[in-house]
Amino acid sequence: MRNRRVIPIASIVLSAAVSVFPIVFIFANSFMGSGEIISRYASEILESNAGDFASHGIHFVRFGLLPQKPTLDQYKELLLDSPGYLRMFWNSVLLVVPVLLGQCVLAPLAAYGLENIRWKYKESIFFMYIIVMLMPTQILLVPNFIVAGWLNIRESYLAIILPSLFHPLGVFLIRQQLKNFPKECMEAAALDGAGPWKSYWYIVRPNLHSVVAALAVLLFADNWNIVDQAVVFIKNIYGNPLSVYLGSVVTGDPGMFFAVSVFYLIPALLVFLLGQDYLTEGIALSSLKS
Amino acid sequence: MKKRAKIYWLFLLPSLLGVLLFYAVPFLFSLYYALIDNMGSQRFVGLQNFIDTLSNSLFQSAALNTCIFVGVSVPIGMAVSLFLSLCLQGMKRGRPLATMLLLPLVVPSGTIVYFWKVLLDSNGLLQKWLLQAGVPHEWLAQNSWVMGVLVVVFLWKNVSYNIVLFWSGLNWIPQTYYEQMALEGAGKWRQFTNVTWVYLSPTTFVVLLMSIVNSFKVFKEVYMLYGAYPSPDIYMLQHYMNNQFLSLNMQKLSSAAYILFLVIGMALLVVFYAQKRVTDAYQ
Repeated sequence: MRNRRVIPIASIVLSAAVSVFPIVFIFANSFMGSGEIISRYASEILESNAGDFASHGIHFVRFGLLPQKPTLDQYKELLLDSPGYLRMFWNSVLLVVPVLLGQCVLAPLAAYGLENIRWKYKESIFFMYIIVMLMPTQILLVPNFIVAGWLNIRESYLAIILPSLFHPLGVFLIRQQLKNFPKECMEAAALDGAGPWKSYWYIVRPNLHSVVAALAVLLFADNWNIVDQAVVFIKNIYGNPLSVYLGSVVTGDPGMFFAVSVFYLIPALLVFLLGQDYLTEGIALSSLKS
Repeated sequence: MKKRAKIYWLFLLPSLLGVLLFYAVPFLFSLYYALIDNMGSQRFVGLQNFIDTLSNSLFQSAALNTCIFVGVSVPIGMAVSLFLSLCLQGMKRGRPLATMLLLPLVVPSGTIVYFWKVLLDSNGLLQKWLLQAGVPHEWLAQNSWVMGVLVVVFLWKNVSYNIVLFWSGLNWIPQTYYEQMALEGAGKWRQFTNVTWVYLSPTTFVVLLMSIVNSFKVFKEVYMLYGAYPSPDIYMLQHYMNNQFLSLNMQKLSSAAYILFLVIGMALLVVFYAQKRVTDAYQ
């Protein structure tokens, strides 16, 4: 009996460690000075790292979690002396917030409407939503790109925000949840004279909190990590969200990378810690009935 | 009552118009772009663009690399996440560990790219260890394992998404089914095959569908690690498409999108059909 319990527990503990370790590494290294970061991880053999293992003219990394001289210099520089990074962080905010707010308002309304419409072909509308949801970003970028041309917004963030606002994931998740909503409640409300709007606001909406919260976490995770759309639509380098620019920081400004990363990670971690309970609760019934 | 039902259209309308305007209509319209010769003369050329795209060697190798990546990462990702979800199911005080397991879901790909470099790059920790263990440098420098690196980096982030889905599927299975089986004297393995596997199969199909879509998101990891122009070993359809955007070649772009759409559409049909067969078999 004991042996049986050991394998699952060991696997979970090991995987949890693997999941968290890269994040711990980033946090720990953010307290190193930029000189130490470069001497540890550069592939060139430098004066400062000549003692490390090297072979074939390549300096190999000196992996470490504990800074030799812990310092907050990187953070100071980031917050007081790096308008570029702060601006790109703000760009990310500008790209995420409208999508999040818009989806959390529009998707429940649409799911509620779709669930109550009586039309022979309404399931084909839902089928269209599912097909769009199951297509990779690269396919969806083609229609997005064409519309952005029609509306003449290719140079603006709207080219990214507007399509994301209408991405069908939200309607899908919430409709699955609504299918389990007791019909009797709605009927009782209708008998009491509540119209569709009143029953939505007082009966349906309060019951959708956890699925909407789950949706918000998923949308935040996806849009805070936006890359593909930004690469296609954003031409000006300082117009990029930080999620895209971090790739260039590794080679361009390695000393700053860890502090910038932590700075960008914190909002994501907060959203996750606030919303993780809803994540499993809110999606609970929805995944089963598609 | 009739009038009341019509009002519900108003609730749906904003979203429906958005989906039609930003996705469905322009996608149908792009079929027109795929069938003409160029944006100037707009002469109808039939399937010529499709033939050109399919015979383009860059497109072929990109498609092959994408197939390899999807074929490797989807099954491994599903197996790992199913196994971990089952382990979690049996744990009573697993909550903090589960939180740690799900954490990668929200971590932006760019923020930990330096970790992967330090671990897996040509001067990274792994190579250092292998060299010190006596593996010849020439062999390591061949660089043919870059696809493997991608699979690891991708799975680290995306297994958590599957765990969320599997886990909620598992929580939905009534505990009494297990108690019933236990009363009948069934062992763990029979409980798994007769209860878990049966009631988890709809979830498994959802996970499969989502895994296929999500596997295209590896573009983020490739872009972070290798920039816009990675080595030919990992040049995928995502890069091919991106280059057509940059050169504004609507003909190549639309025809490639339609080819991809048809292939994925067929894969979805197969999965939907299999799901129907499986659920029918259990009923």
